[in-house]
Amino acid sequence: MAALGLNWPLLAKSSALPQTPSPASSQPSSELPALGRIIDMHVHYRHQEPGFLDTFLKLSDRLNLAGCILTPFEHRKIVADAAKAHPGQIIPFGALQLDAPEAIRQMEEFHDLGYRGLGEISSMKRNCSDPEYFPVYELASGYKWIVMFHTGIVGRGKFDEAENVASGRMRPIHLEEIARQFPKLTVLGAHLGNPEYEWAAEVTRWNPNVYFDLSGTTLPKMAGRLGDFQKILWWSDVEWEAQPANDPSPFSKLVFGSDTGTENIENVLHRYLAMFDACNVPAATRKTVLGGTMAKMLELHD
Amino acid sequence: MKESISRRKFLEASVKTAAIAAALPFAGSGIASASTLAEGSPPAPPKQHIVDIHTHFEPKNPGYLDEFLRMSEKLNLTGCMLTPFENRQVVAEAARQHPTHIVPFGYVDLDAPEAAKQVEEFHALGYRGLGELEFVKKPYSDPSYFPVYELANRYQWVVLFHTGIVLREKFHEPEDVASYRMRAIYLEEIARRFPQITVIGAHCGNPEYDWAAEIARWNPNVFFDLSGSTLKKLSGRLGEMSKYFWWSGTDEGTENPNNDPSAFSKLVFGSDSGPKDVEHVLTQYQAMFEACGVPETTQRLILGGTLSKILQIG
Repeated sequence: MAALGLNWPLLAKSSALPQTPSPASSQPSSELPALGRIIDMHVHYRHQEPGFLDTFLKLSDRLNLAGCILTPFEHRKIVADAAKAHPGQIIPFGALQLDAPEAIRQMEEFHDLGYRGLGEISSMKRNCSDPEYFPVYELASGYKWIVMFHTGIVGRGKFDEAENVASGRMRPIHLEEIARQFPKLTVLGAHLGNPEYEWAAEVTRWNPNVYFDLSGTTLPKMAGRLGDFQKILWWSDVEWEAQPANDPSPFSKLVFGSDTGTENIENVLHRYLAMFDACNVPAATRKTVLGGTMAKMLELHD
Repeated sequence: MKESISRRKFLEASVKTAAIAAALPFAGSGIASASTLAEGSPPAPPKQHIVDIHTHFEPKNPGYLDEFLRMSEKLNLTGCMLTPFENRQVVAEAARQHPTHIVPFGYVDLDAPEAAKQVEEFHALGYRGLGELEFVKKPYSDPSYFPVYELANRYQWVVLFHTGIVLREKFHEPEDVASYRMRAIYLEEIARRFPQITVIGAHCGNPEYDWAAEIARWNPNVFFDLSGSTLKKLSGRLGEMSKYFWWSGTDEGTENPNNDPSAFSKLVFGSDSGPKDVEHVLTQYQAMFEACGVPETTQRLILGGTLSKILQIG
């Protein structure tokens, strides 16, 4: 008798966080300290969510937060218009499929609409550093764009159908080659390469144009041992030739990304703050992580 | 990959087994300990049915099947017997005679031109899966191996892969072997491309436990065993397994066997040992359960429940 293939149903899966969410427009469960301007580099445009942009703008007002809105091509115009109307709050990024034959044309249209970068680049058919994708990176480099990549373990959308997806194509180690081949590009890696944190850290240590966010399951997974990030981002007080700014803390190679719905962005902020406390991250570096670095790259002014 | 055990190591292991078995009487899981199996003992509670995903048939040992069956009877254990192609008939016959103790699995060399044909013949003989696939010339997810996986997918088979560091047999001759081709990360692509295969990784990707766990977390058709040197290496810090299998009680996993909320339900029992040493590996699993606070229901899934369901035995 043949063994049964597993056909367990898909568990209701979302990026929802364990805490009870606080509505974006209401007051948070615990007050955030004064953090200055926050820039969230990882906000997916939720076209299926009515009033998403309005909800985001309310949260943005309350938290002094701007978001890089990762936008599928078919929704490019509505987000471009919102960015024009709210330039201090919405920064449009184009969600591109690297394997799509029309990728270059889409990039040109994103650029014409005032988009500032690409992301989240994910689920490609080859390693993300494959030369097949270099035309995209060359064009992005010409635009002086920021390109944000998924890194590490990736969610599985279909359990009963075959899919050509592999986390191994999105390892943080591949970002190193992109950053070196295209030094004008700013490369952002989501999720710190989960679980290859050490590779992600070493790649960012040597490459001034590479940064990572801590969105996804990394902070929940490490919740009981947040101090371990000091082992990963270890190179304080040593010579650091690739230091991008005056900040000597290796934590300055992190940026803030939530990768969650508007109702949970504040929870992710609290998780970053808990990590800062556990690792004694200096106050100036905290501001750099939460918004300073991205504001400088994007030339956003208060 | 079976590790050869010297007589000295075996004796050391036997002493340790006795000591650990005395300290850990499997009271929680219902596994029979050595003491409950002694002649004249009072009736023991029902024994946990154990399924061992990782039992290598030993063609050079003429008494192997008898030894295995004695151990199997004693421990209430079913073994997935990983069988070279040239030994396929004898194991198929033994499985027919002892269906509750022996589940035949076929070994094929993925790089051999006749691999797919051998898979078909294994299937015709009633084999239930493949394993332990290892020593590949390319990474496991290389498309040249897809014909074998397509057949396994069609048969809805269980396929056991070696993962992680692999022993070196020849020290003075060149050999075309590389552990990186057997990284746990490659199992993800196989599981996604061939969703009807139950993919089992031996050794939990040693030493890439974090990748193994994350891949198991996202793929309902991926499991790992803890055979080999992992439980020995981590013996002084078994609680660290909770760092890798971290998502218990959260909504961050996919569907688990029996909707079990423990991340540890993505493990199965594998011994990768001869019949005399299986009980020792059981004590190692038990020590890990205790160090990580693995719930009793989850222990039962790991030790046999999950594979019983997949293989429809019990």
